[in-house]
Amino acid sequence: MRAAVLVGEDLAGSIAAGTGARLCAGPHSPALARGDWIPWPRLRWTWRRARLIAPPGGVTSSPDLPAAASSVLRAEDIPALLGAAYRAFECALQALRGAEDRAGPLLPAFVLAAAEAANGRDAVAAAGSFPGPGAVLAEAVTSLAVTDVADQVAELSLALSTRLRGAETRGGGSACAAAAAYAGRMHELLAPPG
Amino acid sequence: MAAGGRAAQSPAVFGDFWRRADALASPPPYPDPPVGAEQVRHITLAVGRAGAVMCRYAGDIAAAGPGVRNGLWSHAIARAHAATTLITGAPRQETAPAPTFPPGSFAARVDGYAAALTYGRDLLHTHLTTTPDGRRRALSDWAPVIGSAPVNRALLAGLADHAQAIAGQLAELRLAGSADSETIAAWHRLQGAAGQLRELSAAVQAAQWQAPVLPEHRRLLEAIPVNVTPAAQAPSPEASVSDLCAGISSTAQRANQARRQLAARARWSPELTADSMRYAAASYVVTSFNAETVYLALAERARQLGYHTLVPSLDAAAAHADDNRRAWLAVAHVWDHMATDSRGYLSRPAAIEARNLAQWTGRLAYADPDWTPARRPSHAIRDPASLAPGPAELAEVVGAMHYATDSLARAARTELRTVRTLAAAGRLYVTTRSLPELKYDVRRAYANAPRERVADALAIYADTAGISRAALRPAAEAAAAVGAPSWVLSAADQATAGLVIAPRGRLEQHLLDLGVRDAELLRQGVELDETAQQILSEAHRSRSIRPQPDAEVTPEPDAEVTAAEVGPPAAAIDEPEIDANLEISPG
Repeated sequence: MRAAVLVGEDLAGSIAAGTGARLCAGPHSPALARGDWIPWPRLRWTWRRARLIAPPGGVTSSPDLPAAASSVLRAEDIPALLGAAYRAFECALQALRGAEDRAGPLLPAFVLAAAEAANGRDAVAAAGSFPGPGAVLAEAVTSLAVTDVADQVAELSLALSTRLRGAETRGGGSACAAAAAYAGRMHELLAPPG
Repeated sequence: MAAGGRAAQSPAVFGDFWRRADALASPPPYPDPPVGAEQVRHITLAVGRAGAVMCRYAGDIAAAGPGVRNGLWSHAIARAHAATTLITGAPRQETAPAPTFPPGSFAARVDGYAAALTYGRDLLHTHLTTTPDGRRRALSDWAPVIGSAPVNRALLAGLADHAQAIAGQLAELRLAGSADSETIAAWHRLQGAAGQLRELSAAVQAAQWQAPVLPEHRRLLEAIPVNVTPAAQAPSPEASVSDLCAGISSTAQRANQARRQLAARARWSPELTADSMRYAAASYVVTSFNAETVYLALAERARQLGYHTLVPSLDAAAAHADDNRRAWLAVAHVWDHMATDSRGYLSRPAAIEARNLAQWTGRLAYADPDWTPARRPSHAIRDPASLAPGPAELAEVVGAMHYATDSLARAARTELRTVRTLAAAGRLYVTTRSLPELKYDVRRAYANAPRERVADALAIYADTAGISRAALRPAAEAAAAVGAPSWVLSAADQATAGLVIAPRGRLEQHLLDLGVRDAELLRQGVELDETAQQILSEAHRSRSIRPQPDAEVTPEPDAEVTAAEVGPPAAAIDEPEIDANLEISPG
């Protein structure tokens, strides 16, 4: 197809569901401006490449990760910690899944961290003193940028890792050790650079 | 699968022995001198050995998959079997002690030919094993290729060429003047063997007029490698693009093998955990993401180098890699709330190989030589000019990405089969929190997977299988256009095209072809397909299936696999049920 397309809202809506718009205004496409005409094949390449290299952006709705981290840190005994950890891993999973479409180059870290979160949750559920997953409650939802999701999940996973590792020696058993290892790997994947 | 272009340390391929056999069967540039009693005895021994090994090949070909025996090929195979059996005393001679034949003599050449053929056959048999009940079981992805009609016909056509060449040399043998009566009788028996070999050749020639053997099928036969798992490697920061390409090809092969082995144990293996499935799915997402990045860079480089005809297929490959990423992401979501009945933290080779493939492709895609999937300061894509400075490097990278794409397609097919087996064995569970009807507080974290959740999971895997298979086409086109060493993947795919097990059942596929997208109708279709599959499995188990020799038997998806791997019918999983005895123990 040799037709040219008009760069603008229609393009963003029809092709990229948001990422196209970022392309037009993003730092990696300085040659493109709203209203510019560019050949379709070139646009396709430019848009795709920009999506892969552009910094993650956009806002995504996420569960309240700081609250989940706080309940992990505040848990007073092993059953309470396991219950809080189960819900925290679930929150992390939900937040990562919610943000992965906008994660750009962070996608590999997000997807692998989500697998670790699900594994961590299952490891917690295997602990002898796990009180049960509890009912699904309506949880507070906040709007976060993708990098904020990464930062907050990294903080949460650090809290999980620290508390669960401590619980291992206080009767939590190998399930806590395994869950702590999963949380540790989540942190490795998502910890901010530097 | 690997082979194709061979580096110095590549494993042996069938062609190594086949070409040697070909050379030894061909007449030498000098005439053989008249033979005496001892030479006749030597030649008889050597021809007997050659006949015996040719007979075994003919037996293998006769037992190969459907389609080999169509039309005149059926007669050719029968003729080959009869002729090689009739060659004088073949079975008895084979057990005689091996004398040392004079180097360069006709007997030495024929004996060497028999040895080369034997080694070649041994190589082919590394891909197969025979079960105690006499059935062949595949040990690698090459097994269907070895059983395919094109490869078996190429094999028989090659044997016929050899038979013709050996028969010609036997016919030209002259006895020395003073031969005794025993030698003369033995010489006559050799001439009889020559006649049998000529008949074999003629029968195959006739079959070739009807359905000729194509040169690419001979090439494919010769490219079949010995079944060995390449050594595991980790990409070093100093790895060149060429090293990374080699690493991707061998890691793809290791991943294919690990998955295949795990799938064969899916019914009972404690290694088959949600952890494994999650790691694998997440790694396939990353590999697809990296593949898209590499294909886009290759398309850009092709434009820079002026290979404009190559650009559309590379662009299409990138677009399909993006589709692959989405499809595998959907698979990853399936496992967010699904688990199996076991948990293993240590042994998950299939998942580890999948992750290694993601790592290798990432090192190729990104400029950072220490790239890992983790969040990092830089995600700069490798400069297209450094990825493929010239046409040779372009071909190498295209070939490596063809291997990666092929591995993703195989993964989807294998994992679909694995999940079906897990479901049939009642090994799938879901988190109770994910069940909409269980919003109240329950102590148990898991329940048996409801039927609709299993059907949804299978539908997602089937979609992924279709999408990842579609991604193979542009990847193969690009590889063919640049003459990449991965040509062998396309050739093998074409050779087994008639045998490919459809990822969907027939009814489900038919409904989809008719444009039906109603989830309930599709679910009913899946159920009917599963019922049909169970009936076929029962038939296979009861050995009541006896296809007519000339009949075209189209394998029902997974019928034989199910028969082999699924024992008694699984418990009904209609309703979510809290399993009071379920303990998923760590470690």
